Amino acid sequence: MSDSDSEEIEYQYSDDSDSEAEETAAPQEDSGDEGKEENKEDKEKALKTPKSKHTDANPNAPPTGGSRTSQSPHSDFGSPSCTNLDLPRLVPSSSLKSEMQTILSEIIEMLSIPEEAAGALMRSFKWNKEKLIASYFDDPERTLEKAGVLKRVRAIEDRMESAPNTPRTPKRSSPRATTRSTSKICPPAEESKGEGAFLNCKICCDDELTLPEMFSMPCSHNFCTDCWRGFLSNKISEGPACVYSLCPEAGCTEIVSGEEVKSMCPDKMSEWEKYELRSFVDLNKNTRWCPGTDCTMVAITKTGSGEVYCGCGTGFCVKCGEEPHNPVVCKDLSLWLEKCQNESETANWILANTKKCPKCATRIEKNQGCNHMVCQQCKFEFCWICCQPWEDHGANTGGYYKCNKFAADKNSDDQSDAAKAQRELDRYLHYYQRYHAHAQAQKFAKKQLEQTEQRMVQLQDGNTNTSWIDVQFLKTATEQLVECRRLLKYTYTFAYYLDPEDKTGKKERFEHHQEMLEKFTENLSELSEQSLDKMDRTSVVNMTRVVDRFVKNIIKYVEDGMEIDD
Amino acid sequence: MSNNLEFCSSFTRRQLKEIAKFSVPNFTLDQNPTDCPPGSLRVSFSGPSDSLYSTENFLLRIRFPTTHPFTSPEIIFDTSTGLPSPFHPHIYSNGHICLSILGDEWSPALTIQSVVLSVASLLSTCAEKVRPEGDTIYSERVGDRSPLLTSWLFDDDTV
Repeated sequence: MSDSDSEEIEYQYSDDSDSEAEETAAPQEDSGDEGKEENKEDKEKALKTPKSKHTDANPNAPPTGGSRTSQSPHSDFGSPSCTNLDLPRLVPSSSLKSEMQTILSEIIEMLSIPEEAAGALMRSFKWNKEKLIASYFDDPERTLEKAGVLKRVRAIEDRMESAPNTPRTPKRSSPRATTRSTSKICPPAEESKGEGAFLNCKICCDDELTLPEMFSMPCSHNFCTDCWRGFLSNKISEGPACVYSLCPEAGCTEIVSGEEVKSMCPDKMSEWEKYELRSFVDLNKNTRWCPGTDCTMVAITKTGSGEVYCGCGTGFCVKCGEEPHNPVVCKDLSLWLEKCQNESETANWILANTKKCPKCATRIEKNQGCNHMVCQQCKFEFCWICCQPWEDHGANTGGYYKCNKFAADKNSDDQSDAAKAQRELDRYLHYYQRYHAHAQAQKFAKKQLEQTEQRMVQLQDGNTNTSWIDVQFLKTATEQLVECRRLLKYTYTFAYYLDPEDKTGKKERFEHHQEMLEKFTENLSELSEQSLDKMDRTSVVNMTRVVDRFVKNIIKYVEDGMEIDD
Repeated sequence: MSNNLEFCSSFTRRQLKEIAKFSVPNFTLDQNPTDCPPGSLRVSFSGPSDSLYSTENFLLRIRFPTTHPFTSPEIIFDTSTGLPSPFHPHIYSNGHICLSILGDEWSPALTIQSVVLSVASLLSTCAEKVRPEGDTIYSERVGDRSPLLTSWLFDDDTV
């Protein structure tokens, strides 16, 4: 947690210094590019992309579109260190183009590179602006070549120099070969033999072609327009990888851009752009598609981290795409999920979905969220997690929820491998059992939330002087319950990865927070599941507040590095 | 590569020109081979001298998918007449060849001749006559299916 925070700060910092570096370095980079500047503006006007200049609009302005962009259902859950600037935004896929354009405009301006090369350059650096800038200032030639745009950039620069005021047009086959050296691997492009001579296309082997029938990318490898069309449509029909297509010439590393598609296959342009946007989101660490079924919203962040709650009802972590999982870091979560996957057979064998009543052995299926069980047969009260009598959990017997702490077996001095493995399995099962119990309870709470509106209607109907606002407390309480179950679930993953031998008291303190949250969550669960005639608004509202306090406490404790300060 | 792969049953203008131009010493091209689907070519050649295969003879079968030349031709060592598929770290016993220009690095400007020469050069640079790892499993699983339907990973730049 604290790691990612410091990363955020560093990130912003380097961002600042980068833009400064750019301001000082840029003027040296381009001598005599007044023409280029003018031209860029022409181009921008021509493109009519409203967001193409990054200075005009607030890039963090909430996008238009139906989905909620709130960070969390409880908007004050977010970490206090998160400034508004760093909050993830959700945008519909229809505004991806302008999002991408905003980033491209920044890089075009910063590096003074032609627009046609910017997309491929950013793609080759997985949309990591900082890395691209660093590499470009280190070795522009290599950076451009690696991205497959060296000849494109040079050709445009040459054209600018020779005719600074003519607006750029997509080129038909240019009779002049580039003045720059061609790549070592691919054969140099043949010099055209003047207007009269017939030309040969190396793809269809037609050797009676005339100049207007030919087309080339800036690397000047000429092929006939029919073959270009065939080549490009074939690449696009092969799918998302089409954005990495290279010149048809064997060994040539110049990359195909939207320019060629626009000139040769205008009918395929929309498909091409779709793949460009898709690769923009897929490659970019700062963006992620909402994993909700059939949802096309995209989360966009500054830092590549954060939690997003989409309007489709899906919550996800931007970094790993899983359900929001604080206080656990992504790496531990993925280890944990993998472990649960591997151990699932053992664990499932041990953890049946039903339990026997510890007293009369009647099979009991837990179908509601609370861990306070009452056997319907013998009325015995017990805790679902530890199967011990519920009365042992009373405050007067030394703590309500003693079952959240894992106490290693007494014979822990047995150092044989078998005993160690047994202890490790016990330790895992302890945490898994509780993780699993809260995961189940979270599902129940979600179901409960679905039925809440109906219950609210009934509650309102039951009392004549009750308004709709008066019954909102039930929804708030149930939402809180879902969030608590989610959080509690991951506190067990988190605790599993804490040092079991910890002597600093941090772990103990964490378990104390966890215990408090667990205890009051059970209370809230019980209160909110009450039948409507017994529903006590005041105590539910109070308990919701209390639980919220404990949620914040435990999150803050972890975020502050678990330092014991009070 | 899509799963419904179709092959040309006759040669295009480009292919006919390539066939006419094909000229490599010690390589024979048969444009009307027996026991092959129409539209197939066969190239017979003997192992490059100075190579581990100098005493062996091989047969390649070439077919062109309808998307050719935008996608690579299918080219395999033909074992149907009893000639072997060479023991080579990139050649499977069912005749499939793992070669980058037949996959990701295919360029429409490559020709039958350049592809055949690339395959032959695989043999001349080989230092040890072994089958690729997992050859038995791969060959059994894939059998006669076209190599164009296999996703190849090219991880060895040395041979």
